[in-house]
Amino acid sequence: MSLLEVNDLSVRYDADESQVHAVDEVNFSVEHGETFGLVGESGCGKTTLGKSLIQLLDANGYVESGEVWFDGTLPRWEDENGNPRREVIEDEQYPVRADGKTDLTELDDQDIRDVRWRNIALIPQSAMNALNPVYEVGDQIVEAILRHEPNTTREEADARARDLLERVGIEPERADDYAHEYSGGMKQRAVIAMAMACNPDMLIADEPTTALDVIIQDRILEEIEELQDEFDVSILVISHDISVMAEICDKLGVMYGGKMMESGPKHEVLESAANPYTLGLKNSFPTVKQEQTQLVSIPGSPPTLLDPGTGCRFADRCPFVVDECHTEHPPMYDVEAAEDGTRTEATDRHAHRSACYRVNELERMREDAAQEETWTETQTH
Amino acid sequence: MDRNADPLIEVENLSKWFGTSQGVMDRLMGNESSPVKAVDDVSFTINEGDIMGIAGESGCGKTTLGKLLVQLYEPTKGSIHFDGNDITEMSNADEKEFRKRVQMIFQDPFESLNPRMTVFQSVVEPLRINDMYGGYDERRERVIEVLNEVGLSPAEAYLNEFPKELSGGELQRVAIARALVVNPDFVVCDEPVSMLDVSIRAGVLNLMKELQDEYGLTYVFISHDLSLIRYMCDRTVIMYLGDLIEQGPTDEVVMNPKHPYTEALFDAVPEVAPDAERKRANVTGEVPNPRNPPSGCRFHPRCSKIIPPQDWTGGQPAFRRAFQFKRKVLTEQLGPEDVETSGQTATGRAAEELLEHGLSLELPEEHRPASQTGTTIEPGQLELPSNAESTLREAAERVAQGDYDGARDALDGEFETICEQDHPDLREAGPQITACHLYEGESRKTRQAPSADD
Amino acid sequence: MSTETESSSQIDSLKERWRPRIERFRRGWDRFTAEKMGVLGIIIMVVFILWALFPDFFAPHSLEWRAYLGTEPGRLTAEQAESLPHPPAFGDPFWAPLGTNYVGQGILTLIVRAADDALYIGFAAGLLSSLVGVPLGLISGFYGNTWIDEAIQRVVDVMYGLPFLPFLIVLVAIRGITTTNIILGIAVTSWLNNCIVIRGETLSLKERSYVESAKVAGASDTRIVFRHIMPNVLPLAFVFLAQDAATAIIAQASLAYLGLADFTANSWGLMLQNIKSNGYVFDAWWWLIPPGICIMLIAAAFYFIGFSMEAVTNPQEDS
Repeated sequence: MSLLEVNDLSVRYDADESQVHAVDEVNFSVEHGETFGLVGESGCGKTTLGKSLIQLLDANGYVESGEVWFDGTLPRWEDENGNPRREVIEDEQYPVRADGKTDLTELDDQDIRDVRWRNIALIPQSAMNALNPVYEVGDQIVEAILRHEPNTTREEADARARDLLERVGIEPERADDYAHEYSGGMKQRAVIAMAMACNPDMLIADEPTTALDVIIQDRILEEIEELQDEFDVSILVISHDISVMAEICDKLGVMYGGKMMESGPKHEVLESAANPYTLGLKNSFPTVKQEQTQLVSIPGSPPTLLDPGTGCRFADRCPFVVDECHTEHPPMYDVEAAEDGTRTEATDRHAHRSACYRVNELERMREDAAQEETWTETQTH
Repeated sequence: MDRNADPLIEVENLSKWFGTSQGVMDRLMGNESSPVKAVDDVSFTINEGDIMGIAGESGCGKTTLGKLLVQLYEPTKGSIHFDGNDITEMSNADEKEFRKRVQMIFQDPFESLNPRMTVFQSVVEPLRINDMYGGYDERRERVIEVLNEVGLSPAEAYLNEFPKELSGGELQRVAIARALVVNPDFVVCDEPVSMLDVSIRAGVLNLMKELQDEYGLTYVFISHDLSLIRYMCDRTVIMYLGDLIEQGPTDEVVMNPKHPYTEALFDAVPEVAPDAERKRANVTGEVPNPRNPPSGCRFHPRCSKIIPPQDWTGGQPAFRRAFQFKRKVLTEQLGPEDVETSGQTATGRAAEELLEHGLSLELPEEHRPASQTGTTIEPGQLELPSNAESTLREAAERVAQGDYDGARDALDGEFETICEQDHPDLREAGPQITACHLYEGESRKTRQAPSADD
Repeated sequence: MSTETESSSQIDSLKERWRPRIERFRRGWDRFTAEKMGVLGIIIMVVFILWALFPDFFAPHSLEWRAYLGTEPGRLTAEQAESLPHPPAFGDPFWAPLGTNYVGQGILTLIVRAADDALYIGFAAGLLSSLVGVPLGLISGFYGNTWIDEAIQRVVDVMYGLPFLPFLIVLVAIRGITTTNIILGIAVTSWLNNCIVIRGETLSLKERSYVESAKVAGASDTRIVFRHIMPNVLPLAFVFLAQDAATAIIAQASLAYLGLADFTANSWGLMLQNIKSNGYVFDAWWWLIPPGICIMLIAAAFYFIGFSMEAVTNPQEDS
């Protein structure tokens, strides 16, 4: 059973008289212990999506429709085993399903706070600056524990904090130090320890390495890998850097214009990309060690998402656009079936899927996408 | 690349120090100023037609170096020669000439254009400053011409737009147009694409390459993104804490780095290919405070290849750890509070623990020996010569008692390395030049810096 | 033939060059009016300006008019004299919608005819303060941390020590109580804030990339200050102008209240001083309240306009 099941989620922002369709009917799932990467450029909706899962949107943002089913529930709905009680499941007014999952979008402000940190924790961007300079590091972790698990005693929380620090590779004695006495890498690890304080099932890492120097980035990527080994926690990584994703993720979801364009196991998405946007994106990433072929830009610029039209969001910039693309945004098709030439809608959301009407012409698309002229001669509309 | 290309820019012993001025009180108290040596004694040559990359992490001085090259900063020491003329001693007429031939493109396209000026006004301004192209109409034509060249066509549609109406990619093209409108010879680009979306970068970079051919430009390309450096630049300079530590043809610097820092840098870059095996950077600690850089080779406290003295009989990795231990004791980073057993009564045990703590290094897992578990390591497992080990033990005992002076005495004169004592000059190492004692080559005089194909 | 097309194309190119500026002005106006306070401020200001420009149209009488007597010379009967100050009278025995003061002058007349005085003080003091503070702030900021900057800032520091009202009082007492001196006194102390804030803004603008770009393109210092920095600093200067004007008006009213007013010039502050010195404060509300309200309104109007100007220069939009 998945840990997180996102169904047809749409998130909007209010902007004067119209709305920004930041996220539109996105479907994906994250398993226990899996690292899922949401990758895309600015404005694609990935950060909005991540924040909306635990209701951390700005004041003018809201979930328009869709569900976020999470394998876990509120403390007051639980029985001794941690599963939701029978009457909670059966009662219609509670957003709990037969298989025990809770719909996070239906929880109110108070309730969602129980979920945050205990079940799903967020590691914000520039996490190193998230530590309060006037409190000892250990105390901050203790605070986090006490706030979310109020039945713990201070001693217990303190012991847990030190244990957590040790598990991320910091000597437990350093819990009594202040943030400025930590090195940058240690601060990052301390923030991770803090996020893990209540043993959440899932972490959301928002741009974990953006704006960091390459050697520190290296350390953090290692931290994240050790996290995966040590704690067996699921991680939702949000980033625009495909190379970082390639290193740490198991599955990828490529977003563009608020929609999920392609998703599936990392290897398949990167090596056998099946969507024009992904193909274009791959062309624009230079590498260090391998010989670099000519880099190609995708012409045009991303859509504004303000009352977007019907039709595929990428249609204006796509070199493979046909009439059908303007009717409606394509559904997710199964890529494996497409490799054989058939176009069927994907039923398994863990498999490699792509939203493109021409998915059954993969071989030709991939060949053409590798040619520079395909992109430079596209007329943007 | 023209093999006999003339050097266009020659930088000799260039230094830029910040914070050298002192307040009245400081002077009265006789305090020495400790300036930030953003660029320290850097020398290199750029040939005509080169694309020279300047790479490094934040704080290494690359942006300062870029601004020195366009005379936004005055050098504290050293000289820069542009086409034979010393730019720090230019007459007004020479300076005007210089300003026409040398331009700069900045990192943030939203900031580098005046938000109150239209595209036209921004691009025409250099023409007006330098009194080029006669009257209003001729200038307008030239602006239209250059806007078309950078891919903003039809140019007429862009003339009256304000920066906030354009996207990042378009704005950066406007910045490029502004730089090229005066027909320069040399353009310094400071992180020109780092604030643009990934799929847009390629277009801007390719444009810059095309324009180089068309205009016969020489570029300096400053970036912290090593993959971009690889893509764009023929030759690369790597900087660390104000020092130029390696320079050479980009392919060589990337694939066969000579300086341990360069190696670590390129190891650390993540790979897009999902199965790519990559080593993690074998480097400890972090970039130190530029006000107080380490003596000798600035990288030595973090270096994996630190050179033991001639008479060292143990292994090099062991020396690295012993040296680190000494540093930690001298900077009082290691102390009695780091051990669980408390001081006086169990000094033996406490000292042993301190030793285990002090000798361990914060390294990525693949570079840790099996004998290091968590934050401690068994001294016995290291290839330490016995006298070295007993010295370390003695120092550890002193520290366990809180006697730092005693510990310092015990370590005095031990574990010395040329890397700490002697600042390495640039010397030849294969096709590159590098500032590292590992290489025995002759110290390079700046005038003989390698030409394009060295 | 060719001259016609030349001149028409000249006009065209002129129009071309001006269009973006007009565009920008229009957008600024839209932003300004989005703030209701600014609109209110402008309305109030317009009313007062009209009063100042066309006093005869708005004021029911001239300054020579007296209750019961009109403009004729004469003497009041004891009864009539006792009835002064007279509460609002609408025709019987005379027209004074806001009543009269103790000598029989119509209050409405007085406040309408004093509007020009208030406006003059406000604008003059505000402008003078800006004319000193803004350039000094620009120079100080542009040559930040050099001897020029240090010198100017030391002067500012010293002058900060001067307490505003006492200094004004002393100045006016020494040099004489004329409106000009009052304006001078106000400007002398209020330019300081101007200077400091403009300096701060200039210091930060100086580091902007577009200023560096201009330098690389060869722009001279003068050009950078006038073309790049000043336009971005002016909006802030306008805000200060508005605030200084408001302060000036209130300062002048305070001075008048303390008896340091120019007795020859009719002003709202003087009216308040009169009521106080003649002991009618608690008896003649029609005399007490209107001048106070006018002072408040005009200060508020300046302030509201300044507030809206800030919205126009909203950093999210322009910088």
